[in-house]
Amino acid sequence: MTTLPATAPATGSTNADVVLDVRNLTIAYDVDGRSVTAVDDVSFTIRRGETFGLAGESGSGKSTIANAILKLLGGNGRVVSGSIRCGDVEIGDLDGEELRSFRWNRVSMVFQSAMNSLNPVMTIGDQIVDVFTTHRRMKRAEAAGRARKLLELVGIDPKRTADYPHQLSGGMRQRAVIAIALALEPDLLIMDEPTTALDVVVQQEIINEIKELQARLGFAILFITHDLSLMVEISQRLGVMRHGALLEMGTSAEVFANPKHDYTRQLIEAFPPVRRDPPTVAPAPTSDEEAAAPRADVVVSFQDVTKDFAAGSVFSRRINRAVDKATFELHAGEIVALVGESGSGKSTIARILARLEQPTSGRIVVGGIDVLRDERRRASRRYRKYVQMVFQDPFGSLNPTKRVRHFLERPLAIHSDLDASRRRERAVDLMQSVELDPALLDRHPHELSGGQRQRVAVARALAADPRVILADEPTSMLDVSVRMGVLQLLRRLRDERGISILYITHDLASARFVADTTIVMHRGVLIEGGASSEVMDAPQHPYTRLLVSAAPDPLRRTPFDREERARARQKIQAIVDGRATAGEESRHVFVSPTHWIRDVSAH
Amino acid sequence: MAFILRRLGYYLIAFWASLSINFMLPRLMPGDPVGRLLGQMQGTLTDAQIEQFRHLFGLDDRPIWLQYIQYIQDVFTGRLGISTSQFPVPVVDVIGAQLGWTILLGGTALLIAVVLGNLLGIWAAWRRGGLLDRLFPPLLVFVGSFPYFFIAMIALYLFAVKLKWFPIGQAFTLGTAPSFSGEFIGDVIRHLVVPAGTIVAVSLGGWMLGMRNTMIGTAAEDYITMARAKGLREGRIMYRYAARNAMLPSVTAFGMSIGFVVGGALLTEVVFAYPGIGFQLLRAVQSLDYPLMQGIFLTLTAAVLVANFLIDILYVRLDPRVRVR
Amino acid sequence: MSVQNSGSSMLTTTATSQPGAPVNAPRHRNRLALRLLRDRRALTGLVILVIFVVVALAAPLISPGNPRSSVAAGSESPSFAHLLGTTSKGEDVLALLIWGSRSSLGIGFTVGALATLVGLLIGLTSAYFGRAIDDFLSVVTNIFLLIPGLPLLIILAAFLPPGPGTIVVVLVITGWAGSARVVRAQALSLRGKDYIDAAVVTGERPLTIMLREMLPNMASIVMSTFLACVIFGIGAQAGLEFLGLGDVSAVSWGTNLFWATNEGSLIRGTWWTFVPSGAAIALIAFSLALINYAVDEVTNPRLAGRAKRKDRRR
Repeated sequence: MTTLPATAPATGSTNADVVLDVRNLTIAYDVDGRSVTAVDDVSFTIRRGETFGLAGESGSGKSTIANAILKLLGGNGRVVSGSIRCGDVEIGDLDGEELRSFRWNRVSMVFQSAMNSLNPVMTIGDQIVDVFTTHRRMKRAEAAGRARKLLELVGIDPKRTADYPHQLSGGMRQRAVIAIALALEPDLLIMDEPTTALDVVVQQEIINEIKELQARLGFAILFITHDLSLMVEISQRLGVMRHGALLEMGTSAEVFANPKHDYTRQLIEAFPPVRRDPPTVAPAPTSDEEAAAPRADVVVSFQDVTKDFAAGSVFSRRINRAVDKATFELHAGEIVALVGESGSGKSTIARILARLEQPTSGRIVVGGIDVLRDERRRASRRYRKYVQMVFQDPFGSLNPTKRVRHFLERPLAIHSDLDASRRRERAVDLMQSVELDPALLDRHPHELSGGQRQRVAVARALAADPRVILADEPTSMLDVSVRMGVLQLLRRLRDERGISILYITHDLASARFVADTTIVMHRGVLIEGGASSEVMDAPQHPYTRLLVSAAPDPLRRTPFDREERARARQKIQAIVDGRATAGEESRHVFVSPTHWIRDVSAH
Repeated sequence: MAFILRRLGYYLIAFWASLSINFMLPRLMPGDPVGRLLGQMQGTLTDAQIEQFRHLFGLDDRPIWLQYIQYIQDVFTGRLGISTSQFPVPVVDVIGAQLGWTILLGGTALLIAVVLGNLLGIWAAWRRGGLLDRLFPPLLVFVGSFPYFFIAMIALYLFAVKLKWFPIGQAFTLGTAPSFSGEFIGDVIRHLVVPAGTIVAVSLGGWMLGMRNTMIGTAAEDYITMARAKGLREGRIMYRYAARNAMLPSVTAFGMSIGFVVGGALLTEVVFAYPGIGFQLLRAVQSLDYPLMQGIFLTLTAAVLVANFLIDILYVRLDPRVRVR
Repeated sequence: MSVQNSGSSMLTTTATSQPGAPVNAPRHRNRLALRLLRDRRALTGLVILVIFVVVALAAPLISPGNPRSSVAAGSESPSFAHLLGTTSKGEDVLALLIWGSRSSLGIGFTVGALATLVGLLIGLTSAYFGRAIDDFLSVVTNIFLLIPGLPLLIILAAFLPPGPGTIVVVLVITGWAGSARVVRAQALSLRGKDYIDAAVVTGERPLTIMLREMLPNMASIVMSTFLACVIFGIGAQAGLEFLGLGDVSAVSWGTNLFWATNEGSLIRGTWWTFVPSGAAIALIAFSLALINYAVDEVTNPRLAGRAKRKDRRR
């Protein structure tokens, strides 16, 4: 079974074909008395049954357009000029009761965070029924029946109409929101970053379900996202927005292959491909290859490190094994990427290495110190000097009440014996080494952009003159166009100073771009590792294969097959179940001197 | 379920703590309290009363841990001692006679204040900047700044003494026999209006502002935007989506504030000579009736804890995130 | 826990009921003081407060004589000789009012400061160290929150010797738990922030982190709590004294009200003996509530009606 391409009418769009017609739309917000233009003279059309994408970063205006279509701009936003027509209705003219009955009937919307857009105190069934009782004057019983059918349509067990949002998983919740959106069979479905909060694997599944639904029901989609690779996969036509203006527009393949604007090119380059070569058939290891000769410059060594978290109350203690016998090494001047989905345990490993968590068992050797034996209770100053960390959230990792200077001079005060004026000088040097203007030293964090803050965080880590830097998803909360800069900075630091970097991420593409070695983590276990190119071009473990195939791919080299996906999931689940009964030691099986996998007993 | 059990545990510990405070206090008093008492009562105590006091203050010869155990036993069997100011009526009986009036006064006032306050808060928040939102909060904050008893005094002076619209204090016209007749009930209500009214006036601001602030926060949530996008009617969004969620912190606050209301009711009773427990407590303090004081303290604490527990059960029913895993 | 349910005990509900609510102090912290001064409500409150403090400090100078001396016939209504009239014992009501401010404000602010301090200490410690220490301190805090305030106050005051020391001690014992709970909630949300972890990774010591990294971010909560505690102190003290549990020979607004009731001024209609003291309590509580209200609105961006930024990335 191949992917179902959503068909778009080939030639000559008649009026009946046009579902949404936006012309010269300009929208402005009133902020603190000033008028800020959020959308600047934007025009596009969407035809029946097609998927049109709007790509751009935050602040580009794409979400504003989406909100304007349903007139959800809020108190201080207004349409300055232009028109939005849905069929024969001019949306700007709608008001009061007319607006209320227009909403959801012709156009509905899927918001970014399903958890936040569902009423936490109502069952999901009731939230669907609401729509029917309001717009179709149905009796509750009939509406409830329709609700069950809708859930079935999106792949949720109909019995779950009585469940509350918090009882569903992330993917389920998003499906529920889609079900609500399709209840009245609208002509146009607006999807505003619908899968950004989801794991890559679940994201792919949901995207394909949406495509199937679209083929069946025939609605058009306005798809909004910052992920250009994903957008090219799902939409036939797309537009790129920046600072409120529509920079370019055309068929997805065209724009991707021949971008006219530098900015578009920048966006495309921000998503480097995961696999360079055509996929190879994975060779089954017939015998154990030899591991490469052990290197002498080991900087960090984890041996069978395990971390258990106790959850639940006094009445029902549950053990959650976040990290299960993790074993790996970090060498001098090496960048190792630790890749996994949320909940895989990768952040826990970073926190253990940063001594923010205490492991339950295992051996950790850092810079020659046997950590758990020699300094079990508190990290020594020497350790703190050796290992530093850059956190994920640029907004949260800098104390808002301090100036930038504080973040650089404190580590200097603690770890070096420079006097105050020398520290000031060093602070300037540090700013320059992360490519920031030293004038920013006297600013507060909220005066800096996200990218600048993250660079300050890197400078802070550098100030202690460490040998190892832990980077925990340093770019996932940054705007796409800024991410590359930060990753390149990390690489440069390694090149110039020989610092080792442990780069934690969920994004295979960036791992390939920046790291020499990639280790894949799944449910607490390090399942595969090796040179980045080897792991991604010839993945051995079923889970790694799944990750690689699920990554958004504009050229979609491996088509999505639902049954194959189901089989892969079953296989992985069998492996996970088998872990409990497997023997104490699961060996590393070497596929090549630098490429190992683990716990694939079935192989 | 675990949630309920944990809360129950807290309440038991809290009760035990107040028991212990009750137990320790007389024993911590410096000097010879019995002697002082004798001096104050100017030798009108009988031997039985003196013996009770020695028992109460722990000055008899039992070891302290034995006293503690016996004390706990006594409390749980309802033997809270004998009131010295109303000798020889047992404390339990004194309390029992008055508890009902306090519940009537406090309960009525609380109910009105909560319902009215929350409704006002919901409406004020939904139309931000509207008349309700701009006028009431500062006005109610102003009224709420007055001490309970002072408002009570003003109200008593204005409505009862000067304008003579309502009776001056008491729960019912003295001399009439209590009954369930319509006339008696009417009389009770007339006597209830001003005292309950003052409690409502002072506490209304708190409820309204609390609910208003929570509603404003809730109204900014994404699920409200989605509800609007779904084309639902304003009323439904306001009540079923917004208020229903904003209610939850209110319920929690309600539990916490029962203690406050008890305090307010006590003071109001004192001003209006309303024959409830508060009034009793004051008389007990003035006549140094320690057993009665301690008995009232325990009763009030128990009542507040029980009320809080009931609120917790209500909360579990209201918030599905706590109810079902 | 306050004897009077003043508006501000509920005003800080936003902080207590939503412990995760962000303190937006940083965005305008530098201009917080200025913004407060520009806010009309805060300014009004501040002016009233300053007037009261000045009166209290300058009492010996402004008061028309010794409040306890009998200067005229009993129960005279207000006149030019005695602006607020006299009590039934012939004492000048204005003098009682002015001198009373010393005790009421003095004890009120002392209680406020101490209760805030204790609450701060316990709340911060609880939040920073977590686990066993947090569990234990939380249980203690919750117990003190659950036990109803006024009855506890009365019991404590009845058993201890009367005097200002007793009042302060008793009020702090009943009042610290409220601030501890609020502080803990705020500190917990800060503790989970990355910049605290970052400070640990940098190598800072726990005490340094608590005082230099966490505390500055709690400025508005601490101020808010302090104001609420002062309101509690003043009101609860008045309540205690009204019941006759304070030192009835001292001069304070509460004892003024006590004597007024005792002498039956309500029935006799001599309103000037009780209205001034009560109004004074109300006025100062109101001014503090105004300041508190303004602090809340200025630092909590949602209440100030700002457009919510949905996408945090920049």
